[in-house]
Amino acid sequence: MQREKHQIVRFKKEFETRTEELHDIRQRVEDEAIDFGFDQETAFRLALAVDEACTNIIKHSYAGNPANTFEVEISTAGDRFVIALTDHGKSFDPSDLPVLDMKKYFEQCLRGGLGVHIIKMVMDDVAYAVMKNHANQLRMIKRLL
Amino acid sequence: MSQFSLSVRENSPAQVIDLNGYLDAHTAPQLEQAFQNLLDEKRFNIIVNFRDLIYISSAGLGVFMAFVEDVRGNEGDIKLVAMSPKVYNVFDLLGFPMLYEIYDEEHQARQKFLDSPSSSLG
Repeated sequence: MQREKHQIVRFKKEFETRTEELHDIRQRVEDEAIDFGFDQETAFRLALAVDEACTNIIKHSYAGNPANTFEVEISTAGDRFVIALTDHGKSFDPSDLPVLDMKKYFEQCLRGGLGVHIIKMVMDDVAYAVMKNHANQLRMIKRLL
Repeated sequence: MSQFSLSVRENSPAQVIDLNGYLDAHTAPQLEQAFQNLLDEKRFNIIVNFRDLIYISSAGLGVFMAFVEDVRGNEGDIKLVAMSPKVYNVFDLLGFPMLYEIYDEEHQARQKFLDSPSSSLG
C-alpha cells in the first residue's frame, strides 16, 4: 500500500503468530496513541481494536500455527493515527463484513464476528488490500479530533 | 510474567469466579475451562467478579456467550460484578448489558440468586 505524504513511521516490528504476543502489541499501541495525543479511553479502545485484528490473523489467517510472523506498523500522517498489519497467511477481509445488529445477534444466539464489530466501532476507516507480493494488509485509521 | 489468573470460591448459593489481569485470546481458554468445570459439577449459579480484571477482548466476551445458554437452560445464571469503567466499556460497546445482569457489588448479585426460586441449585 502506498505511503501517504508526511507519513511518520513510529513503530514497526515483526511478531510471531502466537497469542502470547498480544499483550506487548496492545501496550505498544496504547503508548503510541497516548504519545500522539489521544486520551486514555481512546488509546485503550485502539489497543483493543488492534488486539482483535491481530487475533484474527493468528487464529484465522494462520489457523493458530505459531511458526509464522506478521508485521505491525504504527504511523501518523497529519491528524491520522494509522495501524497497518501485514501477513502472508490466508486472505481475510474484515472490511467487507457489516457492523453487527447486536439485538439480533443475541436473539439468534450467533457466534463469532465480535472482533470485527469492535474494529469497525472503534476505527474511523478500515481498508484491506492484497499487495503485489501477495501479502495481506489491513490498514486501520483513527483521526485525532 | 503471569498476565491472567482466576480462582473459584463459594458464596452460597453461588460460585464466584474471581478474574485477575488481562483476558484475551491467549488467556480465555483458562476461563472456558473454569466454566466447564462448574457446569460439570452442575453449579449453575455463577457470579464473575471483575474487580481485578484490567482488560478484556472479544475472546473473553465469547466465553460468556458460549456458556450462558447452557447455564440458563439449567435454571441458573451468569451475573457479572465489580467491573472497572474500562472493562464495562468493552461490554457496553457490544451491547452485552442487554444480555447480562451487571452489578457494582458482589452482594447484590448474590441477593438476586437468593431471591430467585431456583437458588437451592447452587
